[in-house]
Amino acid sequence: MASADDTVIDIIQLTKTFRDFWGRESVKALDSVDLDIRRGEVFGLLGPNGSGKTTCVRIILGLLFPTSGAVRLFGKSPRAVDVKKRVGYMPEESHLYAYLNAEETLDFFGRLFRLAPGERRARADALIEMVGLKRARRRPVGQFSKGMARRIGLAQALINDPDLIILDEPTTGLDPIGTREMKDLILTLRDRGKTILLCSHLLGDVAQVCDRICILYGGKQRAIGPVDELLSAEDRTQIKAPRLPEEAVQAVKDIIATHLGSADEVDVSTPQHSLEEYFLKVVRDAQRDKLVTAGAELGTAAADFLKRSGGEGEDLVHQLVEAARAEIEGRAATPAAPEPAPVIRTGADEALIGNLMARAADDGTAEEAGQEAAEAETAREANVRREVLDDLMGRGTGNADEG
Amino acid sequence: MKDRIRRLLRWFAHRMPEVLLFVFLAAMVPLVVMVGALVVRKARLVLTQPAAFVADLSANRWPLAAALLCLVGSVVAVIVFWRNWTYLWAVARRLIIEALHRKVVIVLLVFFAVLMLSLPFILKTEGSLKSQTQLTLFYALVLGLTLLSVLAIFVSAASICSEVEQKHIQVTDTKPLKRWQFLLGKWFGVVVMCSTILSIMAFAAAALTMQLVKKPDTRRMLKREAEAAMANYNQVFDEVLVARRPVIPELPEQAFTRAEEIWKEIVAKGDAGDNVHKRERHKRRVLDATLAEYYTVMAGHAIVMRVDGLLPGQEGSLFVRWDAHSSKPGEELSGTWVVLRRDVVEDEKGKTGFRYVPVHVELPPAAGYEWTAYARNEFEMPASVVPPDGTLFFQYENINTASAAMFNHTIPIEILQKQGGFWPNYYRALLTLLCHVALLAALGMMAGAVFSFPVATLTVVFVVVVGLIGPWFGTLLEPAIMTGEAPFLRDLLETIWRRGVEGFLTVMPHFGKYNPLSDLTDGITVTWSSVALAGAVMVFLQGTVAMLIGIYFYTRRELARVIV
Repeated sequence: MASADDTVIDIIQLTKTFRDFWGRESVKALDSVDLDIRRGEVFGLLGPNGSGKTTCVRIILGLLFPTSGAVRLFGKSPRAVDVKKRVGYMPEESHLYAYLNAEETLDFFGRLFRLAPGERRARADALIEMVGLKRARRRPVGQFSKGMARRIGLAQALINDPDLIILDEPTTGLDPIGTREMKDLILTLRDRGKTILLCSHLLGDVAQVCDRICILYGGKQRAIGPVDELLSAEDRTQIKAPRLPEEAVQAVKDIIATHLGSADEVDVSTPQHSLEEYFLKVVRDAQRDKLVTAGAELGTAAADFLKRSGGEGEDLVHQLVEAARAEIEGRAATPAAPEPAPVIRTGADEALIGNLMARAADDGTAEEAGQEAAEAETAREANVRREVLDDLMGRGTGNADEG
Repeated sequence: MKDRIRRLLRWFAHRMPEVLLFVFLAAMVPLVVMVGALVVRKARLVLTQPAAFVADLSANRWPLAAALLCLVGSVVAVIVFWRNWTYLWAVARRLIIEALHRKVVIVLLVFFAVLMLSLPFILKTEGSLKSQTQLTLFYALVLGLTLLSVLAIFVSAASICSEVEQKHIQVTDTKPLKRWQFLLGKWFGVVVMCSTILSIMAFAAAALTMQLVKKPDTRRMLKREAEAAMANYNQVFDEVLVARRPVIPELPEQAFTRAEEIWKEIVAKGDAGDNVHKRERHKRRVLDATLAEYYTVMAGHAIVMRVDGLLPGQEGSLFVRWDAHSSKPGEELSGTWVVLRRDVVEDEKGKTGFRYVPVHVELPPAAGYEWTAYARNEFEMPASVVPPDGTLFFQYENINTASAAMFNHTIPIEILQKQGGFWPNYYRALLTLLCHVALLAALGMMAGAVFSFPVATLTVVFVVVVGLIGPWFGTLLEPAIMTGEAPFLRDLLETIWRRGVEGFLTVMPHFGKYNPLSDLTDGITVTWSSVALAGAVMVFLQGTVAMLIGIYFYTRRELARVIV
């Protein structure tokens, strides 16, 4: 049980209803949501389009006001200036000033945190380097590609070295390099004690970085808990091993057949490199050959000023982890490719999750709550999503209104 | 070298908001110095002549109250800006960068330059050098003020609305910036930008005007031509590029007493009516009629008007303006002005009395001994005739035997006395114009904080139009109601008018009331009192109220609200 001091975001019975011009209720975007996000964890807020994720994030940020219930950040109102000083937010779309360049953008946001000019410059330099926009630092943000805009959006979210980082669809629009870097950065920041709230419907990404997740559907909280617990397939076993000769594979199958009575569900295959890993390898080779690009480059490890955050004993903990830091950063910057090995799959997990979410999610980018809610009311879609989420949760088909 | 120049240009472009801020602060320096000197002068008056100070206080109640409000407001503003400078300047700076990037300033200045440079050609046929100078300066400044007003309204409303519509605010509002700081910072950005543009426009307008007023080369002229050319040239500096203080006679007490008597008679007869508003209007008309009667000079008669408060010991000229027309429509006036000084004399028995000594006589200008009908006439007399007590008596004798001369009963006569240079006057007029712009920016902020961009700009335009035509509209509508036939409906309409429309018009900004351009180009002093009144009303009252309304709604607004 986390202590009250450890709670960074505390959401109690949060309900948000949008009303039309005449005050009539048009959409119930959130319905009695309870969340408790603790210091140092990466928390994923998941759900299909129109489920209320973005509304929830906007209420946490004080951009929308709750209809009922309460939201506390660090024990205070989200609109308190003290709280805002400790929060970094990267929105789903990079809503940045198009005519400011990367430097000016970070300078502007740095000013809003009352950073001294020297500190502002140093942080801006470090962040621009971190997100790989060194060559594009003087180009107006309006001329950036979507991915580059996301990168500068991330940089502005970190300018104040926040304790709580809220990332809304952080990998949307990013190339595979950026996606990998983003995930590595999230883990690095988590290792430095930052609390991260991740809002996404890309389950593959979420599964890799989140400690806990909450799944929303139709504004209601459908599931919450640690990722490992929620995703573990209790009725399946997976064995990984170095490449085995055909006889050995057959022997394994025989053993399984002995135990299960049949080897029909046993699948033996040689795993392939993922496309992500192959893509990264090609880009790194190109960089090694010093090919010039006007776009984003590979970023570097997390900027040094992003210090470890925490409560009491922060310095001590910081010292203790300092020795391990180089190793962590090294791992974050150049993640090692796993050794190819035959995999014996005895059931669906990630592929299923990916497929399920692909079915559940629409292609629309804007999370307009009204439109989403209208979609959410379609009974057919609701049934499909209910099945998806129930599958995801490892449950059978159940009542959508439960939980 | 190229790199160095490029770096320098980049640095300059990056520092442009600071340059604008510097211009704004530099433009405020004379204000601080002049106001400081004024305060010191008043303080000395309090210490040395408290009675004179009290008299001044009672005579200039409103200007002093306005000055006090400006002073207190400025102190509060300085404290607020000092404590929140980082946030306010960050927001203001970004607004300025945006305006510069969007080429708003450049385009506006180009428009102004093109239109202003075409003015001398358009106004070339207007007559004398004086009128050409007057018109050029007037229209150049009107043009500048109009463009600047449009800019202030659009930039302020657009900058707030676009933040919400383009969702920039969804990032900015998550930073430790209070929403009032955001709005105030935006307003300050608009004011800083507009003050710089106004400075450039004012400089250009002054340069163009001075270019017109060149000293004539009299070496190759005949003597008479040379004298006429020099008189023309000097006239500009005597009557346009100068600051002249207007002094008007006090309204006659006997007229007020007489009006009161007449009113009592009307009330006694029961003709005053029951409606409170109608009674008020009736009473006012009685007073107007009494004053008009007082200032009507019958054929062969004369009127004497006493003017106090003239400055003695001055060189140059006094300009006497008078406003009258003949009782016969279209007929020109015939009359003579005699200006008298009052000396205190003692008779043989030691008893003191007064003796009136003529110091100037002004005959009608033309051979027909007639002044212009229905126009404001003006004559010039030496300033040295003003006695030490600063009082002169202006006697008009109507020598027309068939018609009366009817003076304007509000300001029948006005004496203009040189009080200072043109440039301080110009500066004060520009300060007043800046108050207009600051108010418009505040209105734009208010509307932008509540409405979407098109609605916000339309709202401000509506307020400006009502502010401009409101008083005129009121005078038009009032007689229309008076001539209505059904008494009940008439009373009802009158009540609605009085309580609703008139109240509404009263709180609307009166842009015409505080416009200094007519006075400036007429060579009349734009007083510190008028600047203080404009500042107090337009910036510290109406502007502050507009900003507070905007802040109220903006802080309660869901900035990420999805419109469904």
